[in-house]
This record gives sequence, structure tokens and C-alpha cells, in this order.
Amino acid sequence: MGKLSQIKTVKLPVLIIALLSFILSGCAANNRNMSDVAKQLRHNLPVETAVTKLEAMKVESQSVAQYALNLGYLQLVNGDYPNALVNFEKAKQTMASLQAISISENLGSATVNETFRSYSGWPTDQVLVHGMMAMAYLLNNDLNGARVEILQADVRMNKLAESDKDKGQLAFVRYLAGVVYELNGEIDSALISYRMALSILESRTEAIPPSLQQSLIDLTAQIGLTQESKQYQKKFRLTVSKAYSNKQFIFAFDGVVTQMQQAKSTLWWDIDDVYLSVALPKFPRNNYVLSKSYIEAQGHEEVTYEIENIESRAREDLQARMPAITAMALARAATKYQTVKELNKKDNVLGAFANVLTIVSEVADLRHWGLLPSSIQVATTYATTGTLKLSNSYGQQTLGTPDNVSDKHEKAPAVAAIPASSQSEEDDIAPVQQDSVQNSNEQLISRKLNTKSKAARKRAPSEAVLKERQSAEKIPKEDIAYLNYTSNKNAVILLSSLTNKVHIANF
Amino acid sequence: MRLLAVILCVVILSACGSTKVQRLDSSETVDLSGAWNDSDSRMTAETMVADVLNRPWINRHVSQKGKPPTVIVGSIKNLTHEHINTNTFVSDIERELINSGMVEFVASANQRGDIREERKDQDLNSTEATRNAAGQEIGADYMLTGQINTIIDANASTQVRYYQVDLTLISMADNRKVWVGQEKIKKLVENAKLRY
Repeated sequence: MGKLSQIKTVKLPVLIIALLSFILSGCAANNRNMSDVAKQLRHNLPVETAVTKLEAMKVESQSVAQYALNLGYLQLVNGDYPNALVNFEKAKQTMASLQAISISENLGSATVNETFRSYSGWPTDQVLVHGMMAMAYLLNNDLNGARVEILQADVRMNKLAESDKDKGQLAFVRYLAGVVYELNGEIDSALISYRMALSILESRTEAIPPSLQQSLIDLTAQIGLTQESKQYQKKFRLTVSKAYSNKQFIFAFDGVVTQMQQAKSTLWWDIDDVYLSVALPKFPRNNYVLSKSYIEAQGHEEVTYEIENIESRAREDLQARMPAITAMALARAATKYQTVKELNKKDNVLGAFANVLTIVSEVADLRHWGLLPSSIQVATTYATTGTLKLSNSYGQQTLGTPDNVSDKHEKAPAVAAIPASSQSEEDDIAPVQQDSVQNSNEQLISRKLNTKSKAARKRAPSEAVLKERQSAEKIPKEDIAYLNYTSNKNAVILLSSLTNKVHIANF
Repeated sequence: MRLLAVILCVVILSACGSTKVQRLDSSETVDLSGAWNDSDSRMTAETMVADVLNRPWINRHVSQKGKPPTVIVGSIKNLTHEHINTNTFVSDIERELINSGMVEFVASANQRGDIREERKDQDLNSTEATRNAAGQEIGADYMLTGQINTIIDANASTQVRYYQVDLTLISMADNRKVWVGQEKIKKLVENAKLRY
């Protein structure tokens, strides 16, 4: 009888650990699947297929926000704005509801692993979801909806800045707020937002995109802040724009952000015959190389410049969380060690079994908004009428190691481009290829894609060499679309390296 | 370890709750998130309608024209931090004003399109006796426009949400503002710092 009760006593903890490991394996699998999709997108997986793959996934309740963010982003760049908004809203609501500290999730993460926590979004996610929603509203021709989102983003950024002035501060979202206000005729609010974007970039000592520089100069001049306008002119070596009747705000989402990896260390603790294991998340080396877009209007070429490096923001977010993650991992290791040690005293076999389970259950939380672009770039043009030619830089967006291989393929020029002059003037913005028109907001320009051979990928030179070579060589460009611009309306244009669609909304 | 067992049981059992539905009176106030809700819309409409009906512009109009004023609803702009459906708010105002019997309403610009289409259809398909002729619409005397604004002050878990609804009634004849109404709502929202 005594032996039986002893077996019952020792079996319970083992069963609990086994059961928890089984339950939580779902979270890790979810993230693995989403991470796989991200890697495939880097290898030119069509966005439509990626959306289908994501939609087919069964999502654990702890990862609902992460899933909705990823799916919403793909739907946005695929032009499915209504569904993108539904998913972003779901992610936003979920993240907001998870801001309070959870007792059960903290206990779970202290005893089993970090994936026990619900994904409540990193600071960048919490702000960027508003930015992406604003973009979806804009492209859906809903300026008021976009305005609501940028107001919410402002509240969120102010809240995050209370604990750390740089936390969650995104120049892209501030710049986008400026664009929304400018489109809405609220010049003074637009100027404030542009100033905030400038302040963020300056505090990071990052380059100021010319479109932001020009907006600051023009808006201060318009409002009558002559002295400030002159200061910006002197600082940026630019002058006030010539009178214009419309403005095109171009945004380019480039690449797919690097996926996190697990760094797991297991060591044998000889004194008590126990294996100790600690798993932490980490970002691998950043192999992203910026790829720019080009806009030619009335014989003048504009280039998109980076306003937000998401690769850096993601790494900063992880860096800020690492002390807490590491402390929790060590506490967890201590708890597991103590449990196994006690079981070892009672029964060596069960102790060993429990030890295996504690090692297996130790997984790092690799969840993040993993389908985001590596870089967000901006440009503005002031074409009143004529043709707007959009093109992209030729070459690889990600230069890499064999397992993180390059992913942009060599591309042939756009097929069958027709001279702009032959276009009907009835359309406000019309692509030259009539067959490719899907709707008024979206033009699909077909193009040929030639993939690189595996052998060629394996021969990829080192990152430093490639970066140097890229900067040294004149990078050829690939045409994406020709747009006949005959209206006097402002426009927001979104380009994404994931898809060959050009998204346009007129205001 | 016993604690762990208890936690596990609670975690598993917490997923077993079933959906519950409880019917509420539509006039009952239920604040869940602190955001603009049906109660805010209804109460603001009631207050502002009571105000607009008690101002001298109605009597002045009736004495000058000998008939109740006809009003059309223009745009009510949502300039808040929330995606507010201003249509419910406008409907509340319309309903209260029409039911007061002191003001007449004509269809808004959006609604007119459908009605005119229907009238064209009647021209072709309805009998002479039931057909409604074109060109008989009543022109509005006043247009109601407005906006809803918010100011939000927030820290980690507490928010003060301030809503200001501004409505203006403008004379179509000479652009005179005959009534300006304002309603303010202030809410203190405290979010939980801990959850299960």
C-alpha cells in the first residue's frame, strides 16, 4: 500500500509536465508554420498562396493576435482591404485586452515555457497595427477611418513613451499621420506629425527621407512659419516646392523581416544528476539589403527612401525584453531542476523521465509579427498630369547564407509596355496595360520571374562583399507600372515587394 | 507541485465555459470598454434635441413662413479616436425631432438618389393614379451639420475620455447659423492591472 501511494505521488508531477508539454506544443507549431510562410515569401511564394496557407492554419488561442497581424498584413498587400481591416481590428482588440498582467500565464511561463503567455504584441506591433490599418483605410478611400487610426496610434505611442521615450516610437506612423492630415486639409496637424517624425529620426541619428524634408519646408511656408521654413531649407539644402495642385504620396514595403531563432543550451549538472536547459529567442544576423523603388514623373525621377527599418525595430524590441525573458528562463530552469531533483530522490527512472520532459518543454517564444516588411520607404511626387512610371531596383533584397537564401529573383522587364500617350484620358490613374486592370484602385502588371538555381544560391558570397558590390555597381531597374495621371487629385500609392500589384487611392 | 496541478486544472476548466446571452432593455446603460456606445448616442441626441426645440429659431421661422421648418441632415463628421457610426446618432436626432411634430425632415443627399430612381421607375411602371410626379420635392430651410471630437488623456491603465458633440443648424437661404448646440461627455476608464 505504501509503495502504491509513493508511485501515485511521483507520477502526478510527471503527468502534469507531460500534459503541459503536449498542450503547449501547439503554440510552437503555430509559430513554426507562420515562420515557414515568411521564409517562403522570401523565396517568391505568391501572396495569394501565403494567404491561403495562413487561413488554413488552426490557431491556438495564445497566438490569435500574432496570427491576425500576419494575415491582415498579407491581405493588405494583396489588396483585400476589408478583410485586412477585420484581422487588424481583431489583433488590436486582442492585444489591448492582454495588457493586464496575467497570473496564470506568468505561472505557466515560470514553470513550463514562455509560449504559455498569450501574444500581446511588441511595442512596434502595438503601434504599427494602427499604421497598417490607416494604410488599409486610405487605400479603401476612407480618409476618416485612417484619421481615427492615426489618432489611436498617437495615444498608444504617448502611452509607450511614458516608460521609455524611444519605446514604440515609429517615424513611419508619424509621417503617415502627417499624410492623412495633409490629405484632410489639416495642415497644422500635418506639420506637427512631420515634426514628430523628424524628431524620431534625428534621435536615432538616421537619414531623413527627402519627402519628409520637403513636406516640412512646404508646410511651414504654407502656414506662415517663414523662419522655421528657412531653417529647414538651410538644413536640408532644399527650397520650397513650386506651386502644385496635387501630390502623390508613395509608400514602399520591401522584403520580409528576419525570423527569430531559438538559442538553447543544455548542460549536465553532475552534482545532482540533472540536465539543465535554457532556451532563449534571438535574431540571426541581419542580411537584409535595401531595395529601392523609383518613380519617374515628367522627366524627373524620385527614389523611395527608408523611413522605418523594421529589422532594427524588431531587434530593439527583443533587446528590451531580453532581461525579463532571461530572468524568467533562469527561474524556470531552477524550478524544473528542483522538481527533477526531488523526483530523482524518490525514483531514478521517473526522475530521468521528468528530466527529459523538462528539456523537451523548454522552448523559446519565437512569436513576433514575422511577415512585416524589412523596410518601409517613402517618396512624394508632384505630377500634375502625365505619366507616372514606377520601377524597382533589380537584384536581391536579402543577401544571404545558404539557409536564408536570397529570395528576390532576377526579373525580366515588364512585358508589353505601351507608350503612355496612347492611353485614354478618361481614367484618373490608369495603367498602360488595359488587360491588367483589376479595379480602379489596383493595377496588376504581369512580369516574368526567373529563379536562381540552388547551386547559384550556395555560391552566394559573403554579406559584406555583396553589400559592397551592390553599392559599387549601378543597379538595374525593373519597371512595375506606368500610370497615366490625368486628374488633379492627390493620391496614395503603395508598392510591395511581395506582390506585383500597385495599390492606389485618389483623394 | 500540487499548486501546478491546481493551475493546470483551472486552465483546462476555464476553456469549458459556454456562451451566455442575456437580453437587455435598449435604454439600459452598459459600459464595457469606455468607448462611445449606444447610450452615449441616445442620451446626446435627447439632450441636443431638447435644446434645439426650446430655442427661439423655430417660433421665428413659423411666424415668418407660417409653417414648421424643414430640415435636412448634412454631414456629421467623426473626428474622434474611435470608429463611430454617426448614422445611429443622426437617426436618433431625426427620430426625436420628427416625433416632436415641430420640425419636418427631408431625405438626405444619399437617400434622395434611391427615391429619384424609384420615381423614375414609377413613371414607367405605375398606374396614373398612384404615380408620383417629379419636381414636387420640398426644399429644406435648414441644414444640420456637426462633428464629434475627442480628447484622450491616458497613462498605463487609466484614461480620461472627453467627447464633445457640436451641431449647427444653418439657414439654407442666407447661411445664417440659427442654432449651435454642444454636448460634452467625460469618462474615466480604469483598466485592470491584473487578469486571471
